[in-house]
Amino acid sequence: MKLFSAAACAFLLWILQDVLFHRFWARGLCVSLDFNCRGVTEGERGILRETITNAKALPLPVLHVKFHMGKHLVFTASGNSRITDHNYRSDIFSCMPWQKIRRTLEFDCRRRGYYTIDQVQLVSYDLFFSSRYVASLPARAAFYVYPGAADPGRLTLPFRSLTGQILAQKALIPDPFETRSVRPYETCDPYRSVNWKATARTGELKVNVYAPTSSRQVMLLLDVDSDRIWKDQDLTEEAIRLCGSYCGLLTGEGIPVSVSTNGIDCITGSRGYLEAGAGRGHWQSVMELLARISSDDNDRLPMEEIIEEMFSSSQSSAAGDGSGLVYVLISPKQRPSLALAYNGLCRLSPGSQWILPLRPGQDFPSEGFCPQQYHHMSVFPWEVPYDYSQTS
Amino acid sequence: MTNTLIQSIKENISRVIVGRPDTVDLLLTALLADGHVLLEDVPGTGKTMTAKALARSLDLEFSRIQFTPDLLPSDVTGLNYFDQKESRFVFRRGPVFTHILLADEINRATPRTQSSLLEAMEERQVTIDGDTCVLEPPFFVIATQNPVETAGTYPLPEAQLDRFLMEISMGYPDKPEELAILDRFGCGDPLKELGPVCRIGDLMDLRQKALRIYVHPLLKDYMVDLVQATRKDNRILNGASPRGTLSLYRAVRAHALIQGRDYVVPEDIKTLAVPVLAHRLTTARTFGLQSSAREIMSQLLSAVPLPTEDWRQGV
Amino acid sequence: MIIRRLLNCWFRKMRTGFYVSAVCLSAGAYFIGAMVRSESGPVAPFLTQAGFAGFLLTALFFFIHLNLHACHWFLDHFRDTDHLPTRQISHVNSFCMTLFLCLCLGAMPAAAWSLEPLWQSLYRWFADFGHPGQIPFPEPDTGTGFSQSPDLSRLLGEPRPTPAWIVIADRIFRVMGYILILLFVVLVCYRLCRQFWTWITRPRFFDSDEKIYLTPTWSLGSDKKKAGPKPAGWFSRSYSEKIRRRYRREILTLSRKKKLTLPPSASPSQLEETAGLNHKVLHRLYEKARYGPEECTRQEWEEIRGPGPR
Repeated sequence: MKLFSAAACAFLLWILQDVLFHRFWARGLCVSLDFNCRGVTEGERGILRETITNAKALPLPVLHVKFHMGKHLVFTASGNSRITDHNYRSDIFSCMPWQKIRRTLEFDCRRRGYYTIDQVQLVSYDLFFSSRYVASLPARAAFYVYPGAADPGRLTLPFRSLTGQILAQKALIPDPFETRSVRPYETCDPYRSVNWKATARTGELKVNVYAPTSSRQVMLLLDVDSDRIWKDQDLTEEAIRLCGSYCGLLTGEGIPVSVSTNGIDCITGSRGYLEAGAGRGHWQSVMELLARISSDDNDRLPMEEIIEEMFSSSQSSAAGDGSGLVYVLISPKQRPSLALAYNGLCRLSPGSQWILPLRPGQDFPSEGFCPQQYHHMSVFPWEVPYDYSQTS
Repeated sequence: MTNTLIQSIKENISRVIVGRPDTVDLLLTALLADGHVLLEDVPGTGKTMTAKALARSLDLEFSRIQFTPDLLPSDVTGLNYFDQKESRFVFRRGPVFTHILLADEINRATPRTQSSLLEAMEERQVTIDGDTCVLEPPFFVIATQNPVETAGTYPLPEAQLDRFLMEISMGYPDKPEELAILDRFGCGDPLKELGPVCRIGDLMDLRQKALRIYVHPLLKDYMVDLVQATRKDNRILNGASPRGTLSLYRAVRAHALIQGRDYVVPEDIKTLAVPVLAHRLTTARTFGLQSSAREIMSQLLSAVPLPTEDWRQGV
Repeated sequence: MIIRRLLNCWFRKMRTGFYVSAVCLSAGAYFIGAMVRSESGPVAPFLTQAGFAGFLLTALFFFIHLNLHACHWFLDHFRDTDHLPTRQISHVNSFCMTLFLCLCLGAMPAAAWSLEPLWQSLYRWFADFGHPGQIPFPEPDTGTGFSQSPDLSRLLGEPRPTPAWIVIADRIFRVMGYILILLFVVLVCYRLCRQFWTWITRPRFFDSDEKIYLTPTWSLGSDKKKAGPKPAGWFSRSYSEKIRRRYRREILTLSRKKKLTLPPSASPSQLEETAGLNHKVLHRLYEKARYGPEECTRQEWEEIRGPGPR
């Protein structure tokens, strides 16, 4: 009978370890995935950190951590990854009691975008791998891959043309809040412009002379729509890179820039828009917006409609004449309707530009599109050579 | 005594303002928490009336500034002008030297003029030509923004929005309330008959009492978790700052005092989280519309665990 | 190297036949030893003990084989995985198996010996039921058959009664001795465990993963800190704790009746709304008990002591 008791005890112990693992394997287990920074530029390398915390007395001999993220983030050591519509990864850990393990994984960022890891699946086993336990945890990790830089040499020409135009407009509009100098009072000078301190010091009425403003703003209009039968993704990406680089140059000069695009923001689901701002922080916001533009969405407004909407709002604004704003359109479409609408918008904004990305050998100007007719804007063709080295 | 006083203030205000006990509670909370309020609402919803009723009930001075694009900073703070009769410069105080200031349509003024008021709000003092004048406490600003008209306006930047303790909206009254408004205001102005029920000294005592309200460590933990959740959410570009946490902490204590308690409960935090934190969040902007920070905040309130009891195990 | 290869080859398959044979052999030896009478010498007890020991070892080796076979399968399956922490897996697995086998080694003989009287009773009951008084249960082997020691008390005469104070002192010193021995054993065990834990958690650099050990806190739930301490039991004198227990019971009872899940982010008001509890006094007192600075009074407890409204 002792044998029978011993055998029953062995069986119960086997059951006990199964029950223990079943009940407690996920208790005190914390899995977090985070990236080392908010984002990197396309082509650079990022780092993903996996942290497993086993805050309990029960060890975990094997723990699978499975998740998926965008397929354009490719791990350098990709034995655990399967890339189909996403990049599926399964990592294996083994945790002692009260142990915290952190693993660092490097990955290459091959394309611009906003990548998230929403969920993590955990799989574990008991001591004899006879039972399998699965749990899902939410993960809130997000990573930006900003668009790369466009050729700075070629961008200099349109940029200098634009800043020259802004400087020329500088002296035309006085700023009522920036005092430049003081002069003697003349008949019909407004009471509000009297400089009382200067008047008290000199004994004669003096009035302020206001400085001209340099508060010209630039609005970048980015068209990511395509009128081709098949979509030239690289041309669209180059347009996005142009927008980012141009914004960087303008904000570097302290010129406020706003961005409007018909691309869909993958977080909000609406088309992308950013109000005017200047400085490095604003450029960061613009790059994040450009990273979030979804390239697969087909449900976009044509750029003509957006331009007409903008035209109507500028007409009804307090200023009424749309002054103070210079437009820069980045669109590969040589469409007469677009050109007409944009020309109408630029009528009150001299110095506006159209940067036109196109492929080598592509007709410029195409049939029906005559840039010479449109006097209120300057058209800059931007050749985008084919890149045969990259695979999709 | 405290409860009686607060009840009498509320009843006094309700003699003029029809309905909206929540708005009155929030305004009193902001006043006792030594903060300022941003009211975003369409014209004609009773913002000026509410501010005046509050000032009269508490026997406080009241001023109103209508912000326009040509308003200068000196129009807000005051200026030194040369008096030729006395042959010296005389300081003329601006409307900011008051107890309750209603800054109407603050988004119409230029950023420079806005900053002159915001500086006074933050520092509780005004510096003009090198001379500093301290504003007499209590100093309470109710700034309003019109959400409908965006043309010709200068929206407050995020750094300035952070200085407001809370952002509230009065909204339109419902049908019974609107009928009551007709009855009440149709035959006269009840504001003229409104008298004070409280003195400045009583108000300052209430503020001191609010500072002594007890907050359980678990609730402090919860408030910090809530603020940290705003920093981790993907939909929010910039979460609430530590100033937001402190504002929430001050506000919940004041709210507990108004409700007649000497300790904070989770309901105080849930009531105040959206008005105090939502306007401090920077969300991804869309063309023409503000992303709904209030909706995101409400969702976070439903997601962050609140310390009550351990409901997992059996009875 | 050769031994490792042989072992890998051995553990790659289940080898169930081998273990079945070993169990049969051990069982056979045990039952032969049990059937043969003790008068035939030391063979019978030896066979019994050997059979039992053989069975024990077979069970232990079987568990080891099961574990290693599973590990082999796992490592073969995931051989090409990058960052595969083979040495870490081996380390953790060894730790787990050591603990498990020690437990088996202690529990199996203990179970066998402690359940023996139960089997005897059952056997006698069945035997009496079927054939009363006929078949005696084979007595267990009590040892090697030493003869009893001679009774020397007759030589010394009748013993004198021991003085009471000696008896009391003897008992006191005996108890103190047991306590001291127990404390000494506990201290030694504690020191050993601590040294063992320090040895186990010494820094090891198996792979490129960063590993740190946390300070153990004996709490399995991850959100116990958020929920706060559970209300005390019925014996607690604190009225705040009693009010909290009452509140918790009410909410749980109502939510179970309606089969509702209580959201962890709900405030007390929301919980009451979800569960359908309408008891303003209980709500007010619960908030005071849970979040207030002062303890609730007896009068407040008496207010809600009876069955409240639902």
